Amino acid sequence: MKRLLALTRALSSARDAFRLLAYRKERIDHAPGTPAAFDPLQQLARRLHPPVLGLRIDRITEETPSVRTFRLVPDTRSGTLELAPFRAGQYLSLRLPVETGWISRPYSISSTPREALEQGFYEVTIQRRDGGFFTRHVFDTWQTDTCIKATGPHGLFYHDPLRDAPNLVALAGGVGITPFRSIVPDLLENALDTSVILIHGVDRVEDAVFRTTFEALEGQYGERFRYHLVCREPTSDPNVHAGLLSRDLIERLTGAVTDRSFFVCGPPGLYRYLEEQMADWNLPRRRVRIESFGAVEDVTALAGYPVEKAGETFTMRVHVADATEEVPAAADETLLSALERAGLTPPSGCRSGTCGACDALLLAGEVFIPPGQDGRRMAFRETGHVHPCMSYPLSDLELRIYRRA
Amino acid sequence: MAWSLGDDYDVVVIGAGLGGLAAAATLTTAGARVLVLEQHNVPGGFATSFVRGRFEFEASLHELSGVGPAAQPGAVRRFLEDELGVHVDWCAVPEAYRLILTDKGVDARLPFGVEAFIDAVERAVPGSRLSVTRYIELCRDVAHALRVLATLGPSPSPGEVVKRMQRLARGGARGGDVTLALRRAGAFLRTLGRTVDDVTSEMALPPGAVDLLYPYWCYLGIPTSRLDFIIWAGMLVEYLELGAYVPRLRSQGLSEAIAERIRARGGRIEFGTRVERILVRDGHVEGVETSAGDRIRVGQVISNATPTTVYATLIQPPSASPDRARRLVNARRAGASAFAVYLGLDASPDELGIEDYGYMIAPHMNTDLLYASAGRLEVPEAQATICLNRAVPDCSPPGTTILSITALFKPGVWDQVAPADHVRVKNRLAAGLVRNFEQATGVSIQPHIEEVEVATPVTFARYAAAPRGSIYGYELDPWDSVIPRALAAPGEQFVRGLTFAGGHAALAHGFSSALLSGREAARSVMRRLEVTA
Repeated sequence: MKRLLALTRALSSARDAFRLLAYRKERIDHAPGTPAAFDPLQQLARRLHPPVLGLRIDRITEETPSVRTFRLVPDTRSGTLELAPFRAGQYLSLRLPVETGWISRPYSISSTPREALEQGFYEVTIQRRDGGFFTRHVFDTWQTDTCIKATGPHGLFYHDPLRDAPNLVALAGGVGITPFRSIVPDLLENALDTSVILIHGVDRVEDAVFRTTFEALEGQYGERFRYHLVCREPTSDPNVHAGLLSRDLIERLTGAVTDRSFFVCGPPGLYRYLEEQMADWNLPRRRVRIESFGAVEDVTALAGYPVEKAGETFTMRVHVADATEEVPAAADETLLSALERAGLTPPSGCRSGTCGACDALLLAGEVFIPPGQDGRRMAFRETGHVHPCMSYPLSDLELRIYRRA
Repeated sequence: MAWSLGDDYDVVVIGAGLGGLAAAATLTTAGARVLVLEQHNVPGGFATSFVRGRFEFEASLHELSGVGPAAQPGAVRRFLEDELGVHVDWCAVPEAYRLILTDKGVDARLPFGVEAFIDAVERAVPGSRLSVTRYIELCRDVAHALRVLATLGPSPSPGEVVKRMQRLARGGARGGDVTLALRRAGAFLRTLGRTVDDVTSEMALPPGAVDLLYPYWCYLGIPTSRLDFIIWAGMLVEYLELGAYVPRLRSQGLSEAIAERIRARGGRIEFGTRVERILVRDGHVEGVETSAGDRIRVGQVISNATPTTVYATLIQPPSASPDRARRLVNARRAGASAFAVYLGLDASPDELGIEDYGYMIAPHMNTDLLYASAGRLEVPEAQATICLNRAVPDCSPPGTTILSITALFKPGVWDQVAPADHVRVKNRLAAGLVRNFEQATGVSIQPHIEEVEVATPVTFARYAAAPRGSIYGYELDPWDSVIPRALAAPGEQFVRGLTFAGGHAALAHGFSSALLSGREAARSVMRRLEVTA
């Protein structure tokens, strides 16, 4: 009897289910019927990470006969009204239209975040490369008032106060100086507990872009900033060190290498050289930040590369949406280069294997990924994903690439 | 080159989050022709990972409920393995949580397993055993009734719910344990529509014991004074009975395994393709249009995109988005967003002194105050911190540690951040959370940071296209929790051929719910397809 009573009581409270629905209905009745289209957080996300930036070249500065700085301002007619803020050291992916879409290349921003915010410009400093399709086009066709598109800013080569030591050693090779033109003044202005020793290695004294800027900063910030120019070719300039960025020179210029964060940017040859020079210091990894700088010079010379493949050209069957094309893929160039050469223009970002923007599905065939440059997620390695920007063909291939949202 | 995606699909799934993937995998397994459209270039939505240096970080997952050990599989493991044939390498999480309440001097390790959990609470709060046992018994009764109800399908009527509870009780009467059956049906009906605090306060628990029971509130994201008791009880019991698991290859290992299964069964996933319009005619879906200009004719769409997004911006013509649907999404409250600090440390957990997997750290366990503090743009008071190596020892290279700190923010808090201040604000808060962890645990981590990445509500808004940056679907007040959502579903089917999956759908948020919601969505679509055929 007692149980029966309990059941009756319980079931009578089932009315609550109906009450709950009545209340739900009431809530809905009283809510506005307007579409909730405006989302301030999504708007902030688009301000920080615009899907695309329309930029107009406002000014071109000839730094050396082969290096130009392009000042970029919003191309308001394209819909870009403001620049996205960025962290000093980040890059833009600059686009070049081609017949079937566009290709892009990453370039470090060589101006400061404050200049973007207060004066409304980014600068990128580009070196013309012999035989470089992209830079040749830039030097031949980009003029004042040319309008271009870019994505970004992206990139991980920035000083992080939680991670990095307040005392920096910046090592730059050649045009690898560009991110430091942003990082150094930004830190000196905004992070008062920091100091920077910048060592710039060049082949010839006249390659030392931004020298006057850095010398002026040295005068302005005294103890907190030291600038050293190191030149491979002999020079009579008394303010220039002769030679390479050697271990001895770095030790002499920095005094002590411990308790400092090293930031390194330059061509692949510089990384190989510095790896040897810095090995004996046994620095913890957290103290060395290296900017990924794109292409491998000669993949066939890398450790582990099956040399018998060098010189071969394979066929790559490529699926995009419902279309399929066959394109040639040479052993010594990346899948991404082969795709772009064939007029296919998949998304790409860092072109160094890390960002994953070009992620594609390898359905058949084999590729070589340079050691240390495999930035794929573990789960993706098991299911055949590749980053075409850092994968070289070792056989005929079948690949699915994706479009851009 | 002409780009198109054809027209030959039974179902188009919008979004490759866990709900969308689970729906597509269920459908392809049943032989349906499925196209998944995803704007991002990886599957998973929040179930993803990212690489920094020599570390691969988990983007969002703390732990999955509903997996259970192989010998005692929970609903999620059974769904993945038995129904989909998806096998994930699962690693068991060693304990429920280590709770540190800094203002109250509480530092306790709570294990999985109902008995072990009750023992641990009794050790920390002597004299609590009886009331805690009764409380968890109530939660188990409710959880059992929920499981019984789940057999009714996605949208029972209130009458069916009552009838099912009556049957549950009668089933007991016909030779089973009468008392138990009555108790379970009664527990469910008695707590339906009530909040966690409301029910808990009747159980005469010592306040210290409530502190030890409540930390999981942060996985549901609203204070216990408003949180629906039924879903709370279901979650608590699932964790205590089955433990928690994480995929060895991060949650990307889970989402990619499902994606791979979809491909193997002939389903198609097209990345880099954003659905911009759902075409509706005469109240019925007739196709979708994408950012790439595809126009795909299809009668059934499963949306992993949220109802908020769908009714506000996707349905075309806008007049086909009914007034009632817009009122519904406006009546609901966007769930919390998150702030996460991902740290790669250059010493092992042993060297650092990080002993546990999951740390719940807060000054106290007053969830109203903790929730209120999540409404201010300050260093969050409460954090849930995971040392992944304690569940997946080889998740990072030998001699290193992955530690991730997560805190909640209410929607709206980050709207006010000026674009140029975003980095400064996130650096300041990240440093504060690291400091709070160090002070609460006595472990020094800052000098070992080799990699650091910080995700803010802006990051979550951007990567998963989540309205207002919500990681948690809609808030789970009793009127909008799982039972009312299920009961109201038939009346809230505003566009024929449109079904929702994922954290905003009927089963609410969380990895497990999102997965199972995909299955539910697929099943209702399959029923409709059969009718149509």
